[in-house]
Amino acid sequence: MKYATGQPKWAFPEDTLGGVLTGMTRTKVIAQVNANLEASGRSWSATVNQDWAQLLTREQMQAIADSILTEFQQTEGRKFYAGAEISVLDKPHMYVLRSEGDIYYDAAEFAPGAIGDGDNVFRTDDVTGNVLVIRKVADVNRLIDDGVPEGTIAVIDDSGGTLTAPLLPDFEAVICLAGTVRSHLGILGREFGVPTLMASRLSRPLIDGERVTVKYSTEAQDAEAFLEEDRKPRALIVPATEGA
Amino acid sequence: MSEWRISEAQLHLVNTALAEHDDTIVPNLLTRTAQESKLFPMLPYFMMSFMQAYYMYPGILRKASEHISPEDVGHRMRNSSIQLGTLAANMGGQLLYLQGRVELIKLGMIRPEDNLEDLWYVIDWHERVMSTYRRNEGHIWTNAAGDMSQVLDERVLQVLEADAYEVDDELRAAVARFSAVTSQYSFLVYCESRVGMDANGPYNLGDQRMLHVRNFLTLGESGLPWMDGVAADIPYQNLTLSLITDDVRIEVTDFGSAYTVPEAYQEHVIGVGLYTSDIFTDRLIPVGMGSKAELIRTLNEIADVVKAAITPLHRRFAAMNFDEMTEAGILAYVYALSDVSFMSGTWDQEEWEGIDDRVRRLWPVYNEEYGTASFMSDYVAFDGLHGAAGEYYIHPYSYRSWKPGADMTLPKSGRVAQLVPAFVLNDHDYSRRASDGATSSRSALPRKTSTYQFVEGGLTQDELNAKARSYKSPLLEAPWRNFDDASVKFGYQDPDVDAMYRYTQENSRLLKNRGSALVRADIDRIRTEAGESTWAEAAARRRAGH
Repeated sequence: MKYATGQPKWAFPEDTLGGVLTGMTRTKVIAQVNANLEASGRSWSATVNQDWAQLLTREQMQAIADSILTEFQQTEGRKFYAGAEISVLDKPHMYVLRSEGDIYYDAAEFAPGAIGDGDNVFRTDDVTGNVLVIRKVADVNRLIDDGVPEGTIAVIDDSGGTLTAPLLPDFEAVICLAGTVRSHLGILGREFGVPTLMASRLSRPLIDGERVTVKYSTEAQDAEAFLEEDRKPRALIVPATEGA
Repeated sequence: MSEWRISEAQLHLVNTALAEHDDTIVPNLLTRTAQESKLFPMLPYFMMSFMQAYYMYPGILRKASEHISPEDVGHRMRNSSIQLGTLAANMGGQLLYLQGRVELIKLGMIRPEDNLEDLWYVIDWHERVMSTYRRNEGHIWTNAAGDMSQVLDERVLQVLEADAYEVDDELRAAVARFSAVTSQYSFLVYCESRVGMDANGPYNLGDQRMLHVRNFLTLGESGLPWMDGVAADIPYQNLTLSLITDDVRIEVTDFGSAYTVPEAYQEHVIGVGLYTSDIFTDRLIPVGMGSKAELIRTLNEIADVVKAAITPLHRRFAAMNFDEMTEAGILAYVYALSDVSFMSGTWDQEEWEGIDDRVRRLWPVYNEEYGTASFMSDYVAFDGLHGAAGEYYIHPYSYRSWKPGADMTLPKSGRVAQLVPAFVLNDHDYSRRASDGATSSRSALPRKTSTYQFVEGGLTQDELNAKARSYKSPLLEAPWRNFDDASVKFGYQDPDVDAMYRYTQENSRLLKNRGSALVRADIDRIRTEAGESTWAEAAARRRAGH
């Protein structure tokens, strides 16, 4: 049984979860591979390994990547989202940090007086402290050299455990704007005993030095509660009221 | 070129394994959090590591299998806590390879019948390794066992139960700090992934008490080139924590992750032990187990040394550019299978440092956003030109979320598994091995120059390969090799079984020379005679708040 192009009887559109990138990428790659195969005049089975370089060259892939970037920016009106800072630093023509998108919520979504909320990793005492926003490797390097100020509540938009690895035990508490209570940062916050909110939502940016109180005395979020009705109430972030 | 042909029986085994992979990978990936890091470009390296494994692993396994059988690998995994455990054997043995296959099919770079001899070889290798490793329990996947991984032999579990120290406030704090620091270091060593941590269990200790094991792996200088120097002072390559808990639910996934309910389990820990091992040890070696005070001091000292390595390692990664970080991430993921090459004496550092040029040519399109989009396509949406499984198909995992009466449309008829079409039995016109064409690989990272750390000290590549080729253990030879727990159930009075138990008990502080007739009640008696609490007493004390 031979088939020339690998076109299946049943297929789905690409990108059914939103976005256009798998469709753009795969359609172009598949078309190039098929064109190269046809030009070679050889069978698929004889080409796929023995002449793998002829089936798709690095130069053709680069040309596809370049055309995708242009097309993507035309249709989406932005560069690719990056999670890692290094992507933006090394390839600024391609990337913008995902965390620099519009990530703030309508204030009406929160309890009166709250700036934001999040899923509590473990239950402990409430913490009042000074906000310190940490978004870049340079921020981490500076704090390694200078030390973390006493009473720092770190605001981190990365749910990973590596960006702030040298600093985490020195924070008074953490507000993480991504992930879940089972993300690496959530796991490490629990292990170190550093009060931590994950998947935090804010109605506005928190500013370095701003004093806030975080309600870490709220019940810990159930990591296995996927339905909204099973979830615990989110812990609130409110302006500090000492002396009031 | 190979003239190998697949048989009908082999084809059905391959497709059954592909379906099991689908059943396993979808819930594991969907219940994990988003793969993202501010430090590492995770999705580009994640997706390309799959394809690196697809091209790299069949050759690695064939070369290793000339010296060590898959069954030998499985036995050694069970006898020692090494890099190759539940996570690494599943990832390395099957998941990475099959996920690379899926991604390449969806890109139109290969077809489902391609490299069929490789596919059969990898699946067969994994099945043989895991069925040996997990022979006491009988499942290949923890997913099929209800997220439990009860792999260890009774003779080992008895030692872990007997020798653990009851936790007091000081020991609890030391264990918590050790776990936190070492976990954090491990995420960094492995570029934000969990490849360096593994777990097994839970094991039943009666009432609401359980024992489980957490392994911290590849902590020292290893085949990961970025560990040179920064890990020089780390005293152990692999460390194993045995944890006895009261009133905690424990699950261990096929990714080797231990999840507990409640998540904050530390307050429920009542007993702890610490061990090391590597591919040249056939038993767990106690670390700081001479006394409770020594164990506390050892845990704190190791945590101090590991903590000191975090900042220099962080700085080393932070100085890398995008391509170097991506390359490091790919190498970190495929390193999952490294112990197979170490154990077989076929380790070749260059082979494990190079990125295959067939993967490098795909590099330009694996930007961060396509990495995420293709991951979602392959494991969540099951969409695209090659995502459909037929118009009548319903994915079993997606179907679990579908509720009648809720006006929900059925999940669409796609799946991860790309089954091999049975027409291959008619004309056998398919490619056999990905290595049939000329291949090459390159590295852009600084080359490794240090030795490889083992229990007995640092070894060069030549030294470790020579040592591996001459390695022997009585646990790998008949008759001990064939004494599983089902054999012990009936043959516990056999002198050979008794000798095997005494061999396992040789380094035990409380069970030395106790032999094979021991049952759990004897362990309670032995602990009492030694002036230590039984675990029932320790649990009662925890509940009373002492």
